[in-house]
Amino acid sequence: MDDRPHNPDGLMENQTSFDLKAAIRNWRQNLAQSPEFRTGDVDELESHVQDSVAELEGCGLSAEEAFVIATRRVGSGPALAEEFARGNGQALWIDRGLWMIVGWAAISGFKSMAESTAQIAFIPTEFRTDLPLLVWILPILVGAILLRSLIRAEGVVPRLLGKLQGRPLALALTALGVGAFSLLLRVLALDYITGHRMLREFILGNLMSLSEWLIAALVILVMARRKLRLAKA
Amino acid sequence: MHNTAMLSKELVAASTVPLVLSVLGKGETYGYALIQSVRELSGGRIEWTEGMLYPVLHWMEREGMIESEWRKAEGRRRKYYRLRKEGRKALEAEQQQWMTVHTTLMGLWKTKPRLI
Repeated sequence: MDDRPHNPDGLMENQTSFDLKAAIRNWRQNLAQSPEFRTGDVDELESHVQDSVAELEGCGLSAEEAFVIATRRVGSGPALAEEFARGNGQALWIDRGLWMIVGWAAISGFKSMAESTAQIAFIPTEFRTDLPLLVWILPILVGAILLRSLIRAEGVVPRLLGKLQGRPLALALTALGVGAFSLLLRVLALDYITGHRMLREFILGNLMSLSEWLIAALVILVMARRKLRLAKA
Repeated sequence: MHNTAMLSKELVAASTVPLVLSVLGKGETYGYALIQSVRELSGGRIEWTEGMLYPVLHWMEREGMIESEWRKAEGRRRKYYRLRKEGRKALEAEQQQWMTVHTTLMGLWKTKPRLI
């Protein structure tokens, strides 16, 4: 290899296994750390940068050059955050409140499933049949999916939530579904443990928990709709 | 010295909304394409900090001038904006105001003796 010092092409080629996707992901995450942006804002800015990079690459720039210029043109994070903050005030708080409740729903659902698992875990193995196996595996599965979504930027859960954002009713029904399902699992687990003896009482007891989920779903519905209306002006 | 080629900051800020309204008046589009058409039409003399356009778009949306929708095209998700009735009215008002400034200035400049 020619090792003249003035060989920009060679230098570039040596260094660049430039990962455009990762660079954009990093840029996006940096931006998303500013509380002034809402999810849709960052999506929109990213879509802009993607278009800009594609066009610059079309002009013959390398991916890295295109990325540097595109992100420079779109503006620096703090300056953008300042501009976005002016308009986002109220919507931002609704956004935060909404995701807090969604977070509560996710954790409660998971906790409820995990409890069913824990209850059944102390039953001697010889009594276990197919149903508790399902009860066993589900929380682990759900936990794994949640964890993977948290670790990876493009996980299943954020993508799903992103889609549901524009559909308040679907979002609320999903929360209600998670709640009902986790309660059903608890009832089934107890049914299995007690051998039908306490089922009726337990179902009645859980109706109270169900109302809790109903309220949560209702709050989610109202907030998500309010948020949509704000976004639609 | 004034740079005659580029628009001043103040003028860029003042003309953003009428420019957006005018581009959208020709049909719906997304932010990146909107910036591109303004750049092309102005011969590169109107240069926006691209990201700054979006808060303006969002403000115009809240004001009811435009509406938006996420859509997938060419394998990429983009947020498309289009004019609403309120926006058309705003566009007409802007047109009148800018024309007033324009004709006034033109009238003043015409009287200036030209060098032959």
